[in-house]
Amino acid sequence: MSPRDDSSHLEAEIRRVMARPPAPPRLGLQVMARIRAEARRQAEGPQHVPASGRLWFRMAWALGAGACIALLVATFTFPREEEEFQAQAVEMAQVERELVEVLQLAGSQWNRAQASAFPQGQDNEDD
Amino acid sequence: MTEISLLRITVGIIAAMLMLGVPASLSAQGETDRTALEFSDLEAKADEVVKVNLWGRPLDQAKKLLGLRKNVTSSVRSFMNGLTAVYRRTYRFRPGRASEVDVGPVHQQLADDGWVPLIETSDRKRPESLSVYSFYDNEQVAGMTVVSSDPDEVTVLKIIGPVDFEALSEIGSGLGLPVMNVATSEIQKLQSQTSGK
Repeated sequence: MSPRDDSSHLEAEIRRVMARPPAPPRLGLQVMARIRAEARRQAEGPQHVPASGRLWFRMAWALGAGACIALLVATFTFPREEEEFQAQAVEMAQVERELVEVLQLAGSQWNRAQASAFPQGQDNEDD
Repeated sequence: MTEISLLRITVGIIAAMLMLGVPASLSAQGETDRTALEFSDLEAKADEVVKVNLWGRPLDQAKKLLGLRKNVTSSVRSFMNGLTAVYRRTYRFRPGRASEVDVGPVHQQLADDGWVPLIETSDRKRPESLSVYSFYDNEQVAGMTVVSSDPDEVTVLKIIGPVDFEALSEIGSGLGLPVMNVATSEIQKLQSQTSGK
C-alpha cells in the first residue's frame, strides 16, 4: 500500500465520521448517571425489598412451622387420648356391671330370705 | 440458725399433715366400711375370693351410667342414688370345705359393729344359712348386709345408704335394672331356690 492510498483511506474515514449526526448534548452525563444508579441499586441489594414484604414472608414461615408442629403433636397425642378414653370407658362399664351384680345378688337374697321367713302358703291361709 | 431451721421443718410437717388430713378424713367412711369387711380366716381357707369395693367417685359414675339406661325404674333409680357404698366378699371353697363355724366370725363382727339381724334362716336338712342384717341411723334403715353360706361358698354383701326394700325386691325379681348377664349362674340358682320354696 502506497502512502497515497493510505491518505485516501484516512480521508474517507474522516468524511464518514463527519457525516454522522451530532451526539445529543449532555449524553456523557446521562450515561454516567445511569451507571451510578445501577451500581447503587446493586450495592443496596435485598435492602431494597419493601418492609411489608419481609413481614408477610416471616408470618408465612411462622404459620407453616406452627402447622407442622401442630400436625406432629396431633399425630402423636390423639391416639393416646383415644386409648385412655377407651380404657376409662371399659373401667366404667366394669364398675357399672359390678354394681348391678351386687344389687341383683342382694335383691335375690332378700327375696329368698323373705320367702323363707314368710312362705307364700301362709299368706294364702291368712287371706 | 438451728432454731430457725427446726421451726421451718416443724411448720412444713404441720402443713403437710393438714394437706394430707383433708382427703383422708373425706375418705374415712369408705375406708372404715371396707376394712370392716376383711375376714382373714375365710380368705386364708378359700380357694377363690371375689372382692368388690364401690364407693366415692367410681360408685357415683356407675350410678350415673346406670341411671341413663332405659329399663331402670324410678324406684330403683331413687334407691340407687341414695347409696354411698357397696361391698361384696365371696369366698369359694372346694365342695364341702366350708362350714357354719367359718361364718361365725362374720356374724360376730356384724353384731359388734351394731348391725341388727332382720331375717335369719337356716335349714336342718341342708347345711345352708342366710341372714339379713340392717343398720339404723336416726330410726331409719341406713344400710343392709346379707350373709349367705353353703358348703361351697360364703358371700357377704354390704349396702350402705337408705335401703328401699321394695326396690331391692324388684331388682331381685329381675326387674328395674337392665339385663347384663352378670353372675348368671348364681342368680339363676337363687331364683330357682326362691321359686321352689
